[in-house]
Formats: sequence, C-alpha cells, structure tokens
Amino acid sequence: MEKTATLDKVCLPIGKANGLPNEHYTCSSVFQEEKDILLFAKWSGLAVSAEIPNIGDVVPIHFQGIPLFIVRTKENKVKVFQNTCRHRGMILIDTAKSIEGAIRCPYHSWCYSTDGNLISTPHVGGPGRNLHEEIDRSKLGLTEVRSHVWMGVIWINLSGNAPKFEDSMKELMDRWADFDRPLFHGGKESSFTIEIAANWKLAVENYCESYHLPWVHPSLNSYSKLEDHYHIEYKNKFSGQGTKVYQQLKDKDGNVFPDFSNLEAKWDTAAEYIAVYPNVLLGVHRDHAFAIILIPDSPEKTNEHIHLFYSQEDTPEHLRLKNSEQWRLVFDEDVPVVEGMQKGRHAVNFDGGRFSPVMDNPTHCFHYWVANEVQNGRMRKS
Amino acid sequence: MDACGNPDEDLEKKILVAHQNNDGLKLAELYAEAAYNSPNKNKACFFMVNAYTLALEYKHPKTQSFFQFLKKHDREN
Repeated sequence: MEKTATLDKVCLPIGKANGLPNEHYTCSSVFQEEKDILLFAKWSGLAVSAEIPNIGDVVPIHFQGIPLFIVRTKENKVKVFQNTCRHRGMILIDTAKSIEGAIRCPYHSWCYSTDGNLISTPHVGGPGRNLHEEIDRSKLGLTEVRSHVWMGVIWINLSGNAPKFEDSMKELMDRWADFDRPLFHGGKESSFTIEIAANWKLAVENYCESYHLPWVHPSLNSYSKLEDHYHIEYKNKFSGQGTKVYQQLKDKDGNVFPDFSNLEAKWDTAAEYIAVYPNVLLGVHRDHAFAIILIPDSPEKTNEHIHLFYSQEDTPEHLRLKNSEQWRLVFDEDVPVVEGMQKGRHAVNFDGGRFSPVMDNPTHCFHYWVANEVQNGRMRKS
Repeated sequence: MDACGNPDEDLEKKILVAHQNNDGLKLAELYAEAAYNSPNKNKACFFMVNAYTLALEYKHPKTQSFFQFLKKHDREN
C-alpha cells in the first residue's frame, strides 16, 4: 500500500509531483517487477540489425538473463529466437558466426533452419532413424520472439502481447517519417559501449531533458544554448528534447557528412533526441542518427550500447571517427551525474525529488509512465 | 569395410582426423563413403544420418542425395 501511495505522488501534475522512490533504483525485487512490466511487456531495444549484416549471420545475446540469438535468415529477414534447443534445452549458438546451412545443436545435433524450423532429428527413432511418430517436427521449431527493425534497432516484445510495433510507435514514426529510410551503420568505430554504475532509468531521465546541458556539457552550450531547446513529450510513449541550432560536424577543409535526402526544411538546423520508452534513446540530425540501447544488468548497473548511423554506406572515415569521438565525449560527460544520482538514491529519506515545472517536463513524463505502468501492473497482479 | 558393416581402419582414422580438425564438409563425405560402402542397411543408415546432418549444417552440395538415401530407407520424410 505504501508503494502505491508513493507512486500516486509521481503521477501528480509536475509542479506538485515527486520522482520515483528510491526502491525503483536500488531494490532487486522492484527491478524484477519493472523487468516484467516495463521491459518484457513493451517493445524494448535489443541490438542493431547492423550486427548481422549478411545472410546467415547469427549473434547470441542475453536479454535480462534470457538467452536469445539474432539471425539474418536465408530470406534476408532479421529474426530473434530463444537460444535453446527444443530437445534438451542446450544453448544452440555460443558465439557470433555465419551459418552456412542449418543451425545444428552441439549436443545431439538436432538441426534448425535459420527461420527456426526443426528440419532434422538425427537418430531420434534409434540409430540411423531420423523419424519417430511422437516427434512432430512441425511443432518443435525454435521459440521465436516478436521483433521489428526500425531506425536500425531490433526491437523485441518478449511477452508477445504488446500491440503491433507500428501501432505502439505510431506517433514517433509519424513525427520522424523523414528518417524512416535505410540508415547505414558507420561500422566498428561507430559502435561503443559505456558501462554505468546506475539504474537504467536514470540514463533515460538524464537523456530526456536539456536542463543539465549548460552545466554538464559546457562545450555544447557555446553554440546550442538552453533557450534553443524545446521539450518533446508524448504521454506514455516517449519524451525528449530538440534543438533549433544543430551545426554539422566539419573537417579542416570544411567537408561535412552527406545529408539524408529530401528532409523537411526544419531539419536544416534542427536535431531531436528522444527516449523511446522503455530503453532506447534515439537522436536524429540532417546528416546522421544514433541509437543508444540501454541494457539493464542489475538495479545499479547498466550497459549503454551506442551506434551511429549515416545517410550513405560510404562516408569519410576521418569524419566518422571524429563524430564518434565527439559523441563519446558528450555521453562520457553524463556518466558522473547519472552515477551521482544513483548514489543519491541511497539516502534513506530522499523523497524522489521535485521537478522544475518548466524544465523537467520530459523527465516527469517518463516518471509518470513508469509509475502508471507499475501501478497498473500491480493492480493486475492483485 | 568389415563383415559387420563398420568402416575399415583407414576410413575410421580419416573420420577421427576430420572430427579433430572440425572439418564438417570432409566428415560429411567420409560418413557418406562409410554408408555407401556398408553392406548392412542399418549401419549404412547410421552413417548416412551423420553425413546428412553435417551436410545440412555445412550446406554440402550432396545434401539432397544423402536425404534421398535416408528417405528410400524410410529414415527421413
């Protein structure tokens, strides 16, 4: 009852609301609860499709302890499966590789096609017999996880009962229709991971708002001042910030990345940074985009997987390197404040904090979503 | 091939070496050879199951003919 009462305060209008209580950042049981309600029941980011560029590529990935693998099928489709053989539960894929033909279980060699069908069951009916009347291969395919690729990200719905991806994300897909096109991953140097000693939600909260920019990112403030930013809020879906003064990265000769073609004029100087609930942080600009996939490891540890995308397959390498360095600097600058907020959540009488009624709206939007979903989840359970 | 339908010593050695080298394509061929050479239907099918399984994994060009061998003996469908 106490927890529910406290979450009611989170859902108050921003001027009167408190943030989420400490246990939402520090407690293992709340972490587990939020895993089911916020991550499994929604469309969560898992990986980027660029990790499996070629037909037959497979990569094993654990998501919240669940062994999965992503695969590019023979039909050039991205799919996600549980990484578990339907025979004795053996892990099928233990390392990233390219599948030439079938996925063969290393234990008793049951074989699956890349689209998950069980195609061979060696000796299942005795030596030299691949058939047995009790083994119906058509019912023993790999367990597929609902997935969808958008903005270069592989999104999954583990519970299997979220609305269709296009319905769940409609408002953001409409807003960013200009960017619904092939995005070209910048390659190895355009991917990096930052480990943070903080709950995943703090990374979302920090990303949503521009309030911290003058203090935490002084280099950005020289041209992208606080007053040049605007809030982006869509209740129960996403929130973030936009800037009206995006400046393209240039090399010493004035070269820039090629733009995405046929963008609306507003994107000449605009850029937007949106946290797509629960765990994907996206950024779009006239000449590049990025995705940060937050993978919660424990209540107080999170891995941020960052990927940069461009408008064309071939862009100048030196510019890509410079851009990666620039973004890494910005994201690294956020680490001390995100980790500092985590440490602050161990103050026993901290009440979740208050919000600036003017500056913290996107963050409160996220808190409201968490509180609302968790309360509804608790009600369904009781 | 001995009287029981097992591969001769030389072929058996080759199979073991291919296993050690993790050479799936070669293994598929060696198992198929053992199957084709075996006078014993059950032994032949045993070897051919191994050949077919590895052929599936490594996309051996003779995968379909290995499959047909097993199908002919009601070991695949």
